[in-house]
Amino acid sequence: MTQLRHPPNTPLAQRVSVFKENFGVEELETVYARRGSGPEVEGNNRIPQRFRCIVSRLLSGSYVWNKIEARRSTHLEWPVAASERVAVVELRGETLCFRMRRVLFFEPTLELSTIINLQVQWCAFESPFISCISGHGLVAFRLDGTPELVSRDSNASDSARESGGVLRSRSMSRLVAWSRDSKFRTIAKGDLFNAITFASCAIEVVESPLVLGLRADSESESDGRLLARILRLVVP
Amino acid sequence: MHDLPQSHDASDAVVNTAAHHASDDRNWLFGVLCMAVALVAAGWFAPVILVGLLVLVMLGGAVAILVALPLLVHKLVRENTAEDGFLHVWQPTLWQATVAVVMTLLSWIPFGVASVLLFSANGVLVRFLAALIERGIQKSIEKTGELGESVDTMQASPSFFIRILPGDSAELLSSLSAGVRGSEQMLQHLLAILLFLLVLEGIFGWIFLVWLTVRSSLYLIARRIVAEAHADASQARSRGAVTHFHMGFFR
Repeated sequence: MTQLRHPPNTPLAQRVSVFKENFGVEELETVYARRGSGPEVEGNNRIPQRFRCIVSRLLSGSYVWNKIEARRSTHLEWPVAASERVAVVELRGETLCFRMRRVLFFEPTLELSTIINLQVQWCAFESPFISCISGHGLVAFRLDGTPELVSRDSNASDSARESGGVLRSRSMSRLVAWSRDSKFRTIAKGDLFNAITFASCAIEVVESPLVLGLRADSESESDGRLLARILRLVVP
Repeated sequence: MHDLPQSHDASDAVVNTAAHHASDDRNWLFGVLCMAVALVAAGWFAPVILVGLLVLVMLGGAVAILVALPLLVHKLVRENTAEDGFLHVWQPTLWQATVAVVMTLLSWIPFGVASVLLFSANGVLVRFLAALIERGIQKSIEKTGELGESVDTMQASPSFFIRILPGDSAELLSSLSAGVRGSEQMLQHLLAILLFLLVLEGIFGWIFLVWLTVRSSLYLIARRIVAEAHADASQARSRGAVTHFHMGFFR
């Protein structure tokens, strides 16, 4: 049986399970799943938390969710495509910021919300509206490539740096979800080209209990997709 | 079962609230559907109701924007002048600030002009379509009206051929007249609804233009500040602005 929940006192970074093959969801009672994904059970369309994250949900085609009652089915498996990974995060009162289009399912015990980040270094590259999820329960994200998990304590010495190895920068567009306690440092070239174009930037994780991203070797979402960058500017 | 911490009463409250939300999803959807049907019915019989609602929504939106704008400006200033904010790290001289503002304006002008042109073209197209639809339907209404008048005339002084028709000719003419008048009214309502939809399209177009203007200005000024700050490597790299996510909606 797949263990989606973890023992008490496990830090957030270790409460992430990444699956590259189908996994059992017997531990779940009820989940809201993105329509068109998940096990083939009877469609049960619902609108959970209808006034939360309305714009991002409408724009990512996830305003209506499929309510799956896993307990009613035996040996229910969540399918994972060959090129994809699914990361399941167990939240215990923490808040995660995330990209709505990446969410696969979440438990009804979790609450969605939106924050507005007007820090110029964020607005220069990302939308000011950020979706968050908080509470106690499981939330799953779809990853189009090799996942990268980072957690960093600000008090750690420079040699300790990140749990994944040495401190390094990563593309902002490859972020999937990150703890609301995170602190990022933006790294951008200070030239005219970068000031008026859609050139991307990198971030360094200064402090964070959890950052879930995609490795730079993932081919599915290139940093150079002009349309994606224009949409990020145009779409609220 | 949920592996939740036993000591958290608050978590139980969250579970109960979420369960309650899930249970009334269907009721809410049904309510929305009823509202939509009621609105369409109201608009069909009295288009002025829809127009009144639209005016109310626009007034509400304007008030919300007037209230939210100062809060957002305050938030923008506070988040960027905080201890690890960008304008705390990068404190430009008057010359640097002027260059940043002028360069931002210069880089925004092509984008701004293109958006205004695009949305003006959208407005012209909407007006053209509205005039076309109005003319087409108005013609049909006039023709239907003329037909109705002919039927009324026939009803007032039925000719020989009408009188020799089998059955009650008066009743026949009366039902024909009612049918023609009903069609005329239906065409008038259709015209009102189509014009209303075009007005809505225009309003949403301009709202989107306002959003694009705000977003593009913010985007370009932010990029300029980031570029200016990072150009001075000694400032940007050694101190570095840090992005955090503790902020609330307006906090």
